[in-house]
Amino acid sequence: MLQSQTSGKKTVVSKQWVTVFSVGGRRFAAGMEEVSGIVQWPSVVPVPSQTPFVNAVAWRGKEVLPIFDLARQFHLIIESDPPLCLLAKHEDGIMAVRIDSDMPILQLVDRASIQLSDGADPVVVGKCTIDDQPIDFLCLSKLGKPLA
Amino acid sequence: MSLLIHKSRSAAPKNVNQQLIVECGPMRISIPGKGIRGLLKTIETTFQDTITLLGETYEKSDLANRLDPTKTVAPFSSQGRTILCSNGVWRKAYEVDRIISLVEIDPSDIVPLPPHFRGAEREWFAGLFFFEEALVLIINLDWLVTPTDVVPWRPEVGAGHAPLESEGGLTSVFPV
Repeated sequence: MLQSQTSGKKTVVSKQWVTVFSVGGRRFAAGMEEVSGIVQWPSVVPVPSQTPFVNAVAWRGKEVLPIFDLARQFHLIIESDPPLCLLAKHEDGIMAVRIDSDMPILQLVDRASIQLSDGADPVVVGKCTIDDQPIDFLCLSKLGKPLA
Repeated sequence: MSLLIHKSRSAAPKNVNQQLIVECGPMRISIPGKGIRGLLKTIETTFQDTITLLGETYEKSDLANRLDPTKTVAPFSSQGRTILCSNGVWRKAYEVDRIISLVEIDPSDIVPLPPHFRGAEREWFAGLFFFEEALVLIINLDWLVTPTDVVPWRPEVGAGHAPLESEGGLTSVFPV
């Protein structure tokens, strides 16, 4: 919670750090606390799966990371090469998400600028205004959860 | 040169797990060695729907296709092999693209499928292990050989049915 002075009147403005990243050229935002790290895209093996958008695993050292195909969920194609890997703090454990090669940025935004939706979608929880443009605000810990 | 590779931490492993690593489309999958009854060249069984060995009949399937209906193993490949599998109760033969290796792994080297996988794949795979700096999926032998029209026995749906036991570690099944 940060305090700011506006027009001599003391107001309390709640701020939040968000990670802004892009997938297939489309920008998304997520709470910084839900991002464990950004690393180079690791080696991957496909896993036949009936879990939507989870059909491969990657590994870092001896750590096995399931991969969430965010691009496929939003019908996007990642053309930038080499892609980066966003490590998301999913409620079931760390998950790898393939993102564009553009390095994500951290941005401090007013909580008030995050327009939360009705809660039906556990992943796209609202819109966040970045550079005067609304972008989807994601809840990375719920990736893969179906609509309520 | 022997096909068998010891991939264990100690020189004399006490509780090793033998796995036959095969290539199937884009995947490397391992089949528990305890369930393997024979290996044949696929090209010699191409036009057979079933294979009979030592009086036991194995229905033939394509492993890549069983896991992903959009994929099949390469036809007429000289490296293609058909693996005869059984868990002591059920038998099935699977075509694969090629044999990679037979390894002995320490059970402690096997990692479970991450909990993020929530679908039928939890029944298909028993875990993963590292081989040649890549991950290999261990197939669940019981799922592999049980006919698709047999529903796995579960206490809540099969109260009163005694589970069948077998050398292959089959938990239990009953025909429907």
